[in-house]
Amino acid sequence: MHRTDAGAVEISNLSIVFSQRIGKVQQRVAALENINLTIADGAFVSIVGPSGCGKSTLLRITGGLVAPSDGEVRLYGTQVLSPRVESAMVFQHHNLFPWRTTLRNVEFGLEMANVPSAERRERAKHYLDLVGLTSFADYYPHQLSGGMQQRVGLARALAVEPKILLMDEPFGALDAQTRFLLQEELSRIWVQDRKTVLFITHDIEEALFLADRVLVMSSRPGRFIEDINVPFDRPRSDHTRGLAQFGEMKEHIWQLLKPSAAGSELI
Amino acid sequence: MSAPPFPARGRIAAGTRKTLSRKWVQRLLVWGAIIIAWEIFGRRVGPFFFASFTQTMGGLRELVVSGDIWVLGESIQQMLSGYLLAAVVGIPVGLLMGASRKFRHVLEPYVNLMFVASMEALLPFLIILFGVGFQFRTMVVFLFSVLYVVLNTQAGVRNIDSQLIETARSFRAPAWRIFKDVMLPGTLPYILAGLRLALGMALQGMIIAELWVQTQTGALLFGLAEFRALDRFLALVLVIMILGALATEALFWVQRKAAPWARDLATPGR
Ligand SMILES: Nc1ncnc2c1ncn2[C@@H]1O[C@H](COP(=O)(O)OP(=O)(O)OP(=O)(O)O)[C@@H](O)[C@H]1O
Ligand SMILES: [Mg+2]
Repeated sequence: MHRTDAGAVEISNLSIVFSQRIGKVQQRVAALENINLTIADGAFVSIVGPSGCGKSTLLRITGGLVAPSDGEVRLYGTQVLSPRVESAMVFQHHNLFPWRTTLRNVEFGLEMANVPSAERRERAKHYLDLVGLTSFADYYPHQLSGGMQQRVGLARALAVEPKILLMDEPFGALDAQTRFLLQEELSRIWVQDRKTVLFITHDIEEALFLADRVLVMSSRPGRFIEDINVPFDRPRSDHTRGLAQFGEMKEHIWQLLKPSAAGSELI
Repeated sequence: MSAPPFPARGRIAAGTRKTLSRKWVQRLLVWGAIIIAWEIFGRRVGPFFFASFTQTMGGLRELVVSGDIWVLGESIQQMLSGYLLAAVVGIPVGLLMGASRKFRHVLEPYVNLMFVASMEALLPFLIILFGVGFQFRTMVVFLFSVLYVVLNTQAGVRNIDSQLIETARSFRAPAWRIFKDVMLPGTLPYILAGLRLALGMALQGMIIAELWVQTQTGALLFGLAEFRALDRFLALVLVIMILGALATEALFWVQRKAAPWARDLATPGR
């Protein structure tokens, strides 16, 4: 079923319940409950929330890796039942294939899509160049720094030229400086071709810096507690981070997350 | 971002070379000391109980001149057939045991039993089954070595990061490509490590089988010991040990070449 008026991502009445054995009892955890979200084509949306609130789960359902217990996700009108061509994922841990060189890692998705080898190489090189790693094409992942590994992960997702990028805390494990650098780089790349991006993070500042719209999540059950429009002009820079309004919004989101964070032993 | 990657590369390479040469100096010192101690010990206890280093070298020359040493070649050929069989059977069984819980549950008890059982105790039974010829010796080598291939391959499959499989799935990889592009390369370093360990076991199996049925190298060793030709006996043992060490070293090299990303599994003791 195709609808032309559909958003890039449409999540409706989505719930997922995990059944878990904790000690001797079987526990049912409602990780996500009745989630509804429509993301317009070309929007950059961030989701912030405390650890364990179901952010990764929501992204994996959207990516077609996990089936929901209830409800559905549609990408450009088509229901997600398995990973779709429209989307590509960047992971929290870089998840690069250790036996592939940088270039061959970027080629992976194109190989799976049976793109002929000459074109594949060309495209992989283009995206490697875009993330500034051309001279590292023949390195293995373990020979790269954490920031470089995440860049390769980003290039690998961009190479399949998806309409939607699904990013799960891609900069979460990096030091502050590298993280700033990569945020600016991602922002620059996004301004060039305006893909639809769903970006998960628990860094409030990162969410505000990157996104047009920030959704704040609470945990157990995971659901959205606020939907915030981010008005700052692009391209954004250190100047943006210094704006008074930026600081106010940061404080506001922090207040929203506080009760949730205090109530959870996970952080 | 086009700055040359790791400008300190030259220095790193020089450092590695230095450690390498130091390693060889250390080795030569140790070997020299062992040979000298061997020589002194051999001369003091006399040729009836032991052969000194120089006597052993003389024994080696005799083995070569008489042509007796070539029996080792025939033994090794038979050993290789058992070893190859172990690889051909062990790798798929290991892959299946790693990938399928059902398969693992069925086979694991037997594999573990075989691992703790004394292979030597099975030899008389194998003679009943296979006679004393080629088949018997191949089977002994096979049984000595196959478990190392199976267990290492299985460990390799089970050690594959499930996140990598999920990543492949997210790029719409069909099941057979997940097998070919994730499972196989992920397991390769373990398979190669298993093959390397198995080779040492195969060599042991070869000698033990031949001692039992008194043929080829085994028979030669037995005869030399019985007639107290300890110089040739020790020379033959030494040659077997050196061949084993060289083959192991060669397999380390193969591992480093074929799986350069997994150096930790392919570096002998560092
Ligand atoms: N396969 C699973 N089986 C059982 N429970 C699961 C499973 N996957 C996730 N959960 C549970 O669902 C909840 C949400 O997990 P999720 O990984 O989505 O959190 P998150 O918001 O991404 O956390 P973080 O910020 O730490 O990455 C957690 O309580 C987790 O224990
Ligand atoms: Mg997560």
